[in-house]
Amino acid sequence: MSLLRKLSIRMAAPVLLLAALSWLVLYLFVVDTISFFAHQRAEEDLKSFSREIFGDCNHDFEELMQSGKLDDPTAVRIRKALTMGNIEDYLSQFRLQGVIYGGNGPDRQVLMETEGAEELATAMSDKDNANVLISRTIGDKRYFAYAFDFQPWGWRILVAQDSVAYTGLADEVRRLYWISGALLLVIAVGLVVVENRLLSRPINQIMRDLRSGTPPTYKGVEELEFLSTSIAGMMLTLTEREALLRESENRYRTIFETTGTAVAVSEADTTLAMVNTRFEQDTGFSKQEIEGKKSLADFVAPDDLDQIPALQSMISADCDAAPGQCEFTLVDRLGGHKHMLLSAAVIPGTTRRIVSLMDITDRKREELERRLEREARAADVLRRKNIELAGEIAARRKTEESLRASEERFRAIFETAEDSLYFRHFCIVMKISAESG
Amino acid sequence: MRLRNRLIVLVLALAFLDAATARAVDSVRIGVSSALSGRYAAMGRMYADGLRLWAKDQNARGGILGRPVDLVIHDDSSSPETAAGIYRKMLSSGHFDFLFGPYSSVISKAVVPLLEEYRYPTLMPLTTTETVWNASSRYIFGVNTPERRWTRAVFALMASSKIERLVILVDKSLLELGSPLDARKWADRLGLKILFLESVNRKTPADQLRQAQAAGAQALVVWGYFDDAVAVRKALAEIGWTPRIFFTQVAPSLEDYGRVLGDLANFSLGCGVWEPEVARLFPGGVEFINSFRREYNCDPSYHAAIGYAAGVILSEAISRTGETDREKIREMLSSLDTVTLVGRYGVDERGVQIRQRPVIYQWQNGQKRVIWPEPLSTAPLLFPPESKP
Repeated sequence: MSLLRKLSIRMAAPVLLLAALSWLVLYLFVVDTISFFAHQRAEEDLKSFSREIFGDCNHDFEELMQSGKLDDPTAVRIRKALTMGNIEDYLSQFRLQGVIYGGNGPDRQVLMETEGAEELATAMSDKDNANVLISRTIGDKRYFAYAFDFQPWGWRILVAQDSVAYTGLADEVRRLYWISGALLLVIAVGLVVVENRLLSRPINQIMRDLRSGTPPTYKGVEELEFLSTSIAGMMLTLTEREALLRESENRYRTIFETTGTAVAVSEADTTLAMVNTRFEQDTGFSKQEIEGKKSLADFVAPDDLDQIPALQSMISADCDAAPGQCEFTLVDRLGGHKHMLLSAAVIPGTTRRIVSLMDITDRKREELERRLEREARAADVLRRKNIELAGEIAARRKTEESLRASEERFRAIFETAEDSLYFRHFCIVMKISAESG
Repeated sequence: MRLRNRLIVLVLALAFLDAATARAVDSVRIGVSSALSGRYAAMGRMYADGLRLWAKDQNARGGILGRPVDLVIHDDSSSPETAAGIYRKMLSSGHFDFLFGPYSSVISKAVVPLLEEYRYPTLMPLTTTETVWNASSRYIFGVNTPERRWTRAVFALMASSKIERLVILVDKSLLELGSPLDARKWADRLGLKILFLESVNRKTPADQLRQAQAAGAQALVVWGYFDDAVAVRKALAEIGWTPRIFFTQVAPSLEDYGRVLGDLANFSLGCGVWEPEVARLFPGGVEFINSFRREYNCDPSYHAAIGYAAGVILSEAISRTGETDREKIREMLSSLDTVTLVGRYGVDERGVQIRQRPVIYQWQNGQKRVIWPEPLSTAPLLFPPESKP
C-alpha cells in the first residue's frame, strides 16, 4: 500500500494501466482473429488432403473393379492394403496424422494409424465426426482433424494435423506479445525509475528540507525549483510574521498581565479560559483553580444573582446586543465583597470574549459618601425650609383666623342688616343678602 | 647473393602454389567412401563403378558449370568406423565441394551425424533404412526407394501368390537399425503370418531353416547382404527344403549371385530400385548400360545405376543453382523433382526419397526377370516345381 502512495507510481499508473489495457485488448483481438483464420485454413487444407486421399482410394477401387477382381478376397485385401500404404505415404509426405477405421458403430476398428496416432485413433473413434473440422487436444498436442467416409470399402478416414502448422503465427504473435509485455513492464519500471529520479527525488528533497524546518533550496526542474523558491519565500514571510505575532502576543500578554485590572478570556459557554494575575488577586483563586473550571457566575454575590443573566448574555458569544458594561458584586475566596465593573468584547474571529473587571468598590464607597453628604445637605435645607414653612403656615393660620373672625363679623352684619345688600364685582352680583332675596 | 636467391625461390614457390590452388579450385571436387573391400565389397564396388562412370561421362560433357568433376573414392573396408573416419577427414579438410554417401544403411548411420555437423548436402544413393534419418535431418537426401516400400512390395507379392506363412531372417546389423521396417504391420494387413523374425546365423543357418520348415513356412525372407543370401541359399539346398518363395533383399541384383550359386540362384527373388530390364523406361538408362558394359565388361546392378544417378542428380542440382554454394544446393536438393535413369527423384521434408518405386525380380533360367510391379514386369513369378503350394 505504501508503494501506491509513491508519487512516481501514481503518475505512471494511469498511463501504464491504459497501455496494459490496450495491450490486452489488442492481444485478444489479434490472437482471436489469427486463430479464426488458422481454423479456417486448417479446415480448407484438411478438406483438400481428404479429397486427394479420397481420389486415391477411388482410383484403386475402380482399378480393382475394372480388373474384375472385386469378388476375389485376396485381390481386394491386397488392394486395400496397398491403398492404405499409399495413404500412409501421402500422410507422411505432408506430415499428417491419419487413421482408417473399418466397420460401423461398436464394430468399428482401427485398420491403419500413422505413427504416434494411437491416442488420436482412440479419441476420435467413438464420435460421429464425419465431414466436420474437429479440434482436439491429445496429450500435450492439439490437432485439427477431418474425417470422411469411403463407402465402397466401408472406411472412415481421419486426417489430422498438428495445430502447430496453423497456430505458428498465433504462437509467434503470442510470443511477440509476451515479449512486448515484458518490454512494457521494463518500460513501466523505467518510467517509474525516471519519474522517481526526475520528480520524486526533487520533491523528496523539498520535503526533507520542509520536514527539517529549513526553507527548500532545490535547483533543477524549472517548475519544482519555482515551487521550492516559492515555499522558501512563504516560509520566510511566515517566520517574519510569526516573530511579529510573537512580539505582539508578548506585548499583549504583558498588557494582559499588567493592565491593573482583572482580565479574563471567556469561552462561549462562559467558562473562563484564561485569567491574569490581577484576576487571581481579586478573586483569591489561583489560575489553575479558575482556568477551564470556573465561570464568571461563580463569583457573583448572592445579592446580585439577578445580574447573572445579564452577565452571561454579555460574555456569551452569541449575544451581540449585550451591554458593553455591567456592574456586579464579586465574592472572593474569603467571602469578601467587591464591586466590579465588567466590560466585555468579542475577540474578532473567535467565539471568545475578553472580559475585564474593574474594582470600583472605592469609587462606589465614595459615590455613596457623596450621595449621603448630598442627601444630608438636602435634608438640612429641607429642614430649614420646613421650619420656614411652618412659620409661614402659622402666620397664615393666624391671618386666616383673623380673616375668619372678620368675615363672621361682616357676615353677621350683612345678614343682620335691614337693607338689601349685594356685592357687585364687575357687573356680577356675587352675594345677595337675605333681604334682597 | 644468398638472400636474392632465397627470394627468387620464394617467389617461384608462391607462383607454383598459386597455380596448384587455381587448378584445385577449378574442379568440382567430390569425395565418397565405398565398401571396395570387406563384406559389402560386391555392392560397394558396383556403386563406386557407377560413380566413376558418371564422373567420366560428366567430364566428357564438359563437367559441371564448365568445371571438371574430380571424384575421389576411398575404401572403408565395409567398416562403419573406418567410413566415419574417412568422412571426418574429408569434411574437416575443406578440400571437397561435395560428398556422396557410403554404401549400406549401416555405414550411413555412422556417417550421417558428421554430414549434418559439417552441413554438407549429401546424396545417400544406397541408404534405404529410414531410421538413418531423424526428425532434425537437413543435409542428407535419399535416392533409393525407402526400405518400407520394399517390405510392402514383397509382402503384397507374397499375398497375391497365396502365401500365408513366412519366416524372416535378418542381418544382425540391419536388425539393430530396425529392419525390416513395418514387416509385421504389412504382414497383418495382407493376411500373412510371420512365424518368426530373427537375426540370421550366417555361419550355420541350417538349424534356423529346419526350424522354419518345421513351422510350416511357405516363404523365406532373408533381409541382409550378399553373404547372408548366399549362405542361406546354400543351406536350403543342404537341408533339402525349397520354400515356395525365397526372397533376399540385395544379393540377386548382382551377377555374382548367379555365378556363385549357379542353378541354385534360380527362383530367388530380389528387390531393388532398378534392373537392366527396366532401363529402357527411363531417360539415359540404355546409354548407361551400354556405357557401363563398355567400361567394365559386365552388367550393372542397381547399385551402379543408382550411383550414376546420384551423380546426375547432383550435377542437375548444381546446374539449376548455377553455383556450388552448399546451402543453396541443399535447398535445391530438398525441392528438386527430376527423372534420372533409375526413376524419379523427390524427397520429403526430412530428405527421405518418396518418388522412387521398387521393382521385384526373379532369377529364372540364369537370368534376372522383373516380375513386379505388373506394368514393368517382363515375366510372371515362377515357383520352384518342388515347392509345395
